[in-house]
Amino acid sequence: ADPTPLQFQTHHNASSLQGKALLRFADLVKEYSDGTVQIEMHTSSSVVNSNEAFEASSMGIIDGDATGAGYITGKNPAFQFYGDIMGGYSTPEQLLGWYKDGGLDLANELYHKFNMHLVGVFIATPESLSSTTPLAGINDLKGWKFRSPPGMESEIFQKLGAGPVVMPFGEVFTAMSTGTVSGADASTLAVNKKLGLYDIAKYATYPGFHSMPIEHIAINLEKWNALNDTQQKAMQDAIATIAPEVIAESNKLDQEAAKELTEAGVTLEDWSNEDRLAFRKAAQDVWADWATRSPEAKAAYDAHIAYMKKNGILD
Amino acid sequence: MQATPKRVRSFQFVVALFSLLLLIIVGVTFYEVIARYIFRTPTIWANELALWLSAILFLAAGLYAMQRDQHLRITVLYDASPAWLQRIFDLITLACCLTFCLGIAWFGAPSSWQSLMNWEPFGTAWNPPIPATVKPLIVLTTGLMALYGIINCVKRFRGIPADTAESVTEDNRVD
Amino acid sequence: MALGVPLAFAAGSLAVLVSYLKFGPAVIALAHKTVYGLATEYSLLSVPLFILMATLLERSRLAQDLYDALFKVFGNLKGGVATVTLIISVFMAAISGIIGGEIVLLGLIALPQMMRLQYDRKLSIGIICAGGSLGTMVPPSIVLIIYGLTADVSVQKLFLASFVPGFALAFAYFAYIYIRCTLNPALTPKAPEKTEPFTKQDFLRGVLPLLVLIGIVFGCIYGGVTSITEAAGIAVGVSILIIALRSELNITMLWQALTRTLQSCGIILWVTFGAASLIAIYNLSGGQRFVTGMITGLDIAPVVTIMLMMAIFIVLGLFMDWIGILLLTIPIFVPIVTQLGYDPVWFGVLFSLTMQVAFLSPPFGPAAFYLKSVAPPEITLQTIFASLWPFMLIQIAFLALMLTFPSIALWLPEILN
Ligand code: NA
Ligand code: NA
Repeated sequence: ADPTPLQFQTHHNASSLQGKALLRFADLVKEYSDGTVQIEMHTSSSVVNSNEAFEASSMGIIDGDATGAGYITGKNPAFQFYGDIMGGYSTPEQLLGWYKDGGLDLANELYHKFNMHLVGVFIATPESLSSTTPLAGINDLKGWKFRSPPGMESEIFQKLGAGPVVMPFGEVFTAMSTGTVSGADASTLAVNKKLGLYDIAKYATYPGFHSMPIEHIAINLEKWNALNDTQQKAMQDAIATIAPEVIAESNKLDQEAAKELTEAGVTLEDWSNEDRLAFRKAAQDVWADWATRSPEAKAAYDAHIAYMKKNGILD
Repeated sequence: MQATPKRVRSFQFVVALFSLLLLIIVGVTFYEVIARYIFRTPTIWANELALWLSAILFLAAGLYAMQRDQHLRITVLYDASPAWLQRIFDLITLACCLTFCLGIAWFGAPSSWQSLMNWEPFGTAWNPPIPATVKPLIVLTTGLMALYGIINCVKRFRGIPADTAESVTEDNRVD
Repeated sequence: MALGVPLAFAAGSLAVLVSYLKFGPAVIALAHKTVYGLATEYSLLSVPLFILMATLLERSRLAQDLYDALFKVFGNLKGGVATVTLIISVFMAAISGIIGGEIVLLGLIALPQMMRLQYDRKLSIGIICAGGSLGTMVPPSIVLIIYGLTADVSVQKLFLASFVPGFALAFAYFAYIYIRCTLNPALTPKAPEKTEPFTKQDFLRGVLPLLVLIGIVFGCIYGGVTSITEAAGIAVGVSILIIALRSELNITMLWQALTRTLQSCGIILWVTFGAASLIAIYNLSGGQRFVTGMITGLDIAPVVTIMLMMAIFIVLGLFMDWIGILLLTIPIFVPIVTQLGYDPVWFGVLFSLTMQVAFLSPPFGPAAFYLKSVAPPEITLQTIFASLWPFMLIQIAFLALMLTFPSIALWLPEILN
């Protein structure tokens, strides 16, 4: 039979950690399915806007979306709980564990309503905040003005007395060097370093705790149902292969960056366990508020809280 | 200009009114910068409101340029051609215009309708219904642009020049 | 396209046709998605705002006063006002990161003045398009910001690296104008018999308001006070204030400026929408894969590969806008460049330099389109494109220089680190 071609899109670029992983995912699917499924992974949002990739797949313009649920919280607030549980988990493994423990099936109840199927997720290390002023613990957040992505994150930081400013990322560099903002939330330590944030910001929270975006691999539901069991399993197995690789690679890159940054005089702020827990508590109030915004959000929230309590992440 | 039906001209005036959005955007920008620096309380809505209005402005702008038949053309061959050939080119132009505009309008309509029915918000801090409004407006705008494509083509066949007199005289830039 | 079909519809209808023929009816909706994506792009908002600022200033006699004032100072020099235009364009390049607003502003302010003073038309057009394009070469630059984000390179380093080449390129244009005007005095009018002295009144009416405006925009962006888009909004407000203070503000003028902006904005943005739809379907069709295969399949010296990439940028630049080229090629090229042992910061400067060529090169030359959208009707696209080739030659010569001596770009970031 002819191989099934599938057009996927990611917002990541081909040379980034996640972009490379997704290209490898495409190769692995081909290998595992004996060449019967051929995924074309379009990088850098070259076909549609990142915000539109999900809807474009559900409409059949493309076949799959490899961005993240954080882009579609406007479609249903529940997607926030599948995009980034801000301040919720300390390691990618914990969060992947939630998906194994029933999270994936719960997610698919939501995804199927949008004619999409969530095949699986992978997650890099927690992100680091960058700051021009010390950020040693939760008290330093009071009055700390920083560039924040809009949504749940700004709500949490506002609660803690910080002043989140929503501005285009391109403005961050001048804004930080002139003191308009004292910091920025961009990405992991290694990526922030590459972006040049630490040319200006001399403080970074590491290991990170506030944000850990979930990379989802979702496919048009009809296209998914048209695949046979072997092909479906090939995609699931391919994600299972890349997920631990991404964690290992992200850790390695962060550690290298941490070493170089320390040598370059950047202070790495390792928050105490009490401060991390205090941040999580503040975040929990905001999660609870989001849970009231749709029934699906409530279901996701309850499942996360139950899992966190079961595993001692929350007490 | 006399040859243009009055109803069409007055609708052009309605579309031109959308240019006032620019003044609102300027006002919103001033408010945001003053709120940020003088009152130390940046708004969550100013940038998103400006973005929303600008999306509407961009659509109205495309329609306005279409009403005035001013969309960017390379006219080397067209200008050098005899009238009968120009009419064939006009038909090709019309075909391209209808393909693009109706392609967008017809195939964009179902998902736009869904966004409108669900009153889909933008998913940001202030969360305005940008998808719910802008997506259907694109369908409406391109639909109207297709209509004006036909009107412009008919005008050319009837030998009525494009509605550009105003733009030439208003500026008075060659003195 | 040469048939007189508007470019937006030529590109857009091709996109729709290819979508249908290659993928089927469901994919035609991609064009709707593309228009939506661009219409909700915050940085695009600065385009109509900069246009509005320019059209407002044009309707004031401010621009005329400025040129009259500067003509009193520089008019007796060879190519004096042409030089002044270039100086102003460099100033504006340091304020704005996009070329659209800048070329439109120069097209509205400088072009009619140079025509009034009987400067050679082709030289005037060339100065405006080439000078106006400097906006993306001299920091701040949206091209460099997006390059930095796409290629994972420090934007700050890119800004530092492009600083010297940006101004050097402007200097090359100065030299060209000086040489042309010296060799052929007919290109510029003779100085008036007696140039009136530059007075305090000239300064207050002609020079000061623009200095204030530039100062405010400069302060907003470099002071880190606002985003470029917000700075553009504030610039519009300040322009209205300046015009009101000159007692020139009235409803008719404001209305004309607004509708004029609406039209220019419609022209510019819908060309972008059409081209972007075509790029989207080209990418979906595997255009990226094709380019990668072509480059990695060649067995050649590293520097030849880089030159080949420059050639690809320039060829793509004939038909596409910078953002399409950037998104299409940079994620593929930069890993190859790094692998060959070159600095991606230097490559970024080379890229933005080739985009200077792309802004000017026909048939898709955004600089020409921007100028056309505000030029008097007797200046056709053909006239504009015919005026640009000497400047493109300068850019390509400059590109060769940068290829030979990478340190032109790299010494500033290295010194400052
Ligand atoms: Na610039
Ligand atoms: Na070009």
